[in-house]
This record gives sequence, C-alpha cells and structure tokens, in this order.
Amino acid sequence: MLLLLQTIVNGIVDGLAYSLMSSGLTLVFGIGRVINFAHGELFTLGAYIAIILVQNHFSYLFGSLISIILVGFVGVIIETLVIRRLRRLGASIWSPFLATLALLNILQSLYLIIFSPNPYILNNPFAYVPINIFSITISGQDLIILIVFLLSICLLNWFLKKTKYGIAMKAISQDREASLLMGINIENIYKLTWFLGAMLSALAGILLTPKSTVDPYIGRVALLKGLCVVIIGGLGSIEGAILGGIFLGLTESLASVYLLPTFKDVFGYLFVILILLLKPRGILGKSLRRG
Amino acid sequence: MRRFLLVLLLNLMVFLVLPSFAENIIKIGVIAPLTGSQAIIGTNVVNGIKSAVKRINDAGGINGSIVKLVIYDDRNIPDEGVAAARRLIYEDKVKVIIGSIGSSVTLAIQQLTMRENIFLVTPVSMSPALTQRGDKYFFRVTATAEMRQRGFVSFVVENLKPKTIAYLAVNDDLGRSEVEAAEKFYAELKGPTTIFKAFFDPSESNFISYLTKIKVLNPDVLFIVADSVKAATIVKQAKTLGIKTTILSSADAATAQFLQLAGDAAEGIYFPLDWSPDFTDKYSREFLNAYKEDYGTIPDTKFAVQGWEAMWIVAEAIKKAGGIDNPDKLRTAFLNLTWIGPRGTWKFKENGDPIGISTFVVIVKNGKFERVLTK
Repeated sequence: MLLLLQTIVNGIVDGLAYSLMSSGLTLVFGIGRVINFAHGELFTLGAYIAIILVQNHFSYLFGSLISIILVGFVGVIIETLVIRRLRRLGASIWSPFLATLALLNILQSLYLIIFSPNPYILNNPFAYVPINIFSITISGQDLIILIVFLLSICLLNWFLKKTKYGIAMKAISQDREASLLMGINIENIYKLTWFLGAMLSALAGILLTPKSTVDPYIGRVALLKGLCVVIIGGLGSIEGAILGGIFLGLTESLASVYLLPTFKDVFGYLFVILILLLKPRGILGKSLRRG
Repeated sequence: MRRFLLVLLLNLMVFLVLPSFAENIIKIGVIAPLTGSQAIIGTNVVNGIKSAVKRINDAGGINGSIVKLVIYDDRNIPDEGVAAARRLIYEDKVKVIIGSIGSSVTLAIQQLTMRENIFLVTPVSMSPALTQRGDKYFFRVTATAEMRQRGFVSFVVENLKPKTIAYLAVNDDLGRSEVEAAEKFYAELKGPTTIFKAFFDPSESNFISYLTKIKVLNPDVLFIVADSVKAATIVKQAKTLGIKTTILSSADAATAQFLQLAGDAAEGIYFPLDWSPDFTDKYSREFLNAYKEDYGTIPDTKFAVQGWEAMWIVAEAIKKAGGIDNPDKLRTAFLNLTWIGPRGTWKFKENGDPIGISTFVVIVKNGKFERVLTK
C-alpha cells in the first residue's frame, strides 16, 4: 500500500516536472504556431546562467530570477532575428521548424565551447532534503517545484485571461487575421509570447536541474518529454500540458514499479502513441486552424 | 637561367631530404570522442597518449624514429569512428590505431581494421565481443568486465555476506556486461539472490521510481553501474529516499568527479578499482608527474592512465618488432612483451585480452577512496 502511494506521488511529482518542461513549448506553439526545437536549449541556458550567478555569490532565488529574465530576452532575440524574418518572407511552416532545429545545434555547440562537456551542479540547499509526510518521501526540490509551478500557472492564467496583452495573445491564437483587423499589434504580441515562453523554459531548467546535473546535452530530454506532454495534452493547451504531464509521469512511474522497470520510457512512449490513436488532438486538444 | 637552376636545385634538395625525414617517422592513429557526452574520457585518454609520446620522443623515439600522432574525433558515434579509421588507413597510411572508447565504436572500427590488417589497440573498450572475432591484430589494454568483477564479487561474498542483491545499471554494453559478469560470479560462489534488476536509458537523470521499488524490497546490497555523473545522482536520490542498503558500484564511477558531485551521499560505497590518482607506487608517480608537467593538474579520470599505458605498450611492441611494416612480427612482439605500468604488469593472451590485471577494493571514507585490506 505504501509502495503504491509512494509510486503515485512519484508519478505526480515527475508529471509536474514534465508539464513544466512542456509549458514553454506549449505557449510558443499555441500562440506563435512554431514548434520551438530550441526549447531544450533555453532550458539548459536558464540553468547555466543561474549556475554562473550562484557561483558569483547570488542567492539561488535571486540568481534564478535574473536568469529567467535574461533567457526571456534571448527568446525575444530569437523571435526578432529569426522567426519574424521567416514569417515576413512568407516562409512555409517548415522554415521555423528547421530554423529552431539549427538553433538547437548552434546553442548546444556554444555550451560545449563555453562550459565544456563537464557537468555542473546548480547548488540549492534544499535539493536533496527529504520531506516525509505519512512515511511518503519527496525531496525539498520537489516541494519547491510544486509550489513554484502552481504559482506560475496561476499567474500565467491570470495574465492570459485578465490583461489586455493576455487577451490579445489568446485572440491571435484563435484567429490571426481577425486579430490583425481588430488593430492588435501582432508583432509585439509575438515578441511577448516568445519572452514568456523562453522564461518558462528557463524556469523549468532552473527548477529541475538541481535534481541532477547540468551539461550541454540535458536539453534533449526536456525537448523530448516536453513534446510528449504536448502531444498527450493537446498542442497549445496549458491545462492539457498539466494533465498530459501528470498522465505521462504516472504511466512511467506505475509501469516501472509494477511492470518492467527497464522499460520505463517505453511505457511512456507507448502511452503517447495510444493517445495519438485514440485522441489524435490530445486530451484537451483544440482543432488546429491555419494561422 | 640561373634562377631556374636555383629553383631546380632547391626542388631536388626537397625531394632528397623529404624521404629521409619520412623514414624516421612512425605515424600512430588515435580515435577517441573529443566532443560529445564521452568527451571527458576521450580527452583524458588522448592527454595520456600525448604525454607518453612526448616522453618517448624526448628519449630518442622508437629505434630512432620519432612518433607522430594523427588524432581524430569520433563523438562516440560508430559511423564517425569508421570514417576516422578510413581516413587514418587510406589517407594518413597509418598501420597502428589506438582507439576507441565506447565498445560500439571500437567494434565498428574493428570491421575495417580486420579487413585491412591494421593494428587496433583499445585503451578503454570492454566488450567481450572485441576479442571473440578472431582478429589477430587486436589488443586490449584494459581489464574486461569479468576481470574487474571477479575479485570484487568474492570480496563482497566473503566480507559483506549479502543474502539479496539489486542491480541498477545503464542500458548499454557497459551496464549489461558488468551486470552479466557480476551475476555469473555470484552464482558460482552461491552468493546473493537477485531480487531486482533494471537497466535505465543513458540519458535518464531521474531514478526515483527504481529506487522506490528498491527501498521497499530492501536488498542487502545494491550494485550500480553508471558513469560518475549518473552514479552521483543515483546515490544522492537514494539518500533522499532514506535507503540504507550498502551500495556497490562498478569502477566507472570511482573518480574525483563522483566524490565531488555526490558529496556525503558517497560515504560507505564500495568500488573495484584498477587505478586511482591516489596510488603512490613508482609507476603511478612517474605517470602523474608527467601529466602534471604537461597539463598542470592531475587527470580528472583514471582513463588518462589507460591512454598512457596503451601508448607505451604500443611503442614497446614496435620497438621489439623492429618497425610497423610487418603485422605478424608486431603481433609476436605483443604476445611476448611484459610491461609494467601504473595498473600493474601487462602481458597479453592469444586473443588480445590482457592476463591478470587485478583490481583493488576501495571504500569512500571522509570524502576519499580508501583501500580495503582483505585478510
């Protein structure tokens, strides 16, 4: 019984981590209609900048905040220098796809040159502190993830529903042409979207990497799991991303404890395929419109 | 006219001089991952090789010939390894290659070197398949998983007397071969029964679900096979979950990096170890002094010593064979040589595996590896 409870808790904790990995991806896709393959590298960049700041005597909290904002601006730069130009050229949907894939490789190579392939640790005093609730154990970092993630989702929800810019973002995601006709400054909204999306990617990197280590290759897992969650939850849906993450985390956790441990990832991906077969647009997916 | 003659003369000189230079150079190819996830190991191995070459050349080379290295990166990808081997064999015309790190890469390179009768000496790859193909020109300057596990397993059975064991290993040739070897020897010695066995993806960094199961099963010992980084993450996560089981690790995580990353979660973990920078024998000191002189620090991993030893052994064999042009002579030289290095005395079997490289058992105490002395 204890094993089952602990396994479920593990699954939810992992699931929230996966949702977190996918939230930046979802936002940029939902509004900008770009699958950002460089998402994993922004995740890594967030962790690296935070590490540099923490090593230079910033606190984990303050260093993280600065890092998140800086990566947000990197997102804006990507949108301004790459994505916007492609959009203006009237390029096909494949162009941003390939461009962000190229960015993935460029950024990864840059990390290799600057930081070497050696792993770094993002030091956080709570990362490995065990917290026991009714003999179920989670780590201090898990608790931080839970709190910060819920807070940021609430904040994002409030922003999208209550503010002028948020409403404009939603409007664009629903109908780009109509939004243009209504006088929404679409370029600024795209910039804002990338700013927020990149910030979420960095936030995920900062919250999740204290549980292991940081090297130039960790972005791959963030991208892959993020994409899985996005597929399960439905492209562009934040609520879907949360549900999708938790479903994926629970599937992996339960399968690895009660079925075959070696096939943990296999069960996760099987679940993704199953969802694609049963609900091709994801659990909460909306129908896609040509933006 | 005079200018023309001068040019002609200069050209002639170049032609006359060049071949005599070429005769005095022995080219050795090196293939290792210098970028990518295994770059730390690759760089360390190549540094060890370079340090050895520097000492060999300073002492007048091999039978008067200067050793020149041609080094290519394989990024730990088999295809890239084969491409590098192709360049070494067909363009650089090398007869001896030292490489590579990952067994999958070395196995791919071996396909080519076998066909072309080129010598392949691996400083790191452990897959048993490498010496089971009947490659006459292949030698392994490292202990196989079986050699590393044999002594360690009997130590565990005699001293820790576990009844049950759990395995958590990386899902590649390293993890598979270490676990297979350990299980084989435990069965031979009627040791602990296996109650849990899982292989995780090499990119995995979250081991909580495996460890949750292990905590509930509560085995007497847990054997982990992973590189330093993953192993550190595993033991830290195990500590968070409150797992009290005695942890055994493969030699791969016995590095300064592991100690630094794992912190106090590393305390009390047992390793089989063939070499550590803490060794103070004459041969280890010689290596460490050379390394410090060349790079200003002691090596990050034990793999540097493996590059160093592989290069010295290759040089020794070439010296005995009197050159690299006759592969059969070179093979005979390998089979007859005895060379003592930091890891012990090297001799080779017919199939290319070393004979009798022993491992020590170490335990982490107060953040340091301490040798466990057995009765």
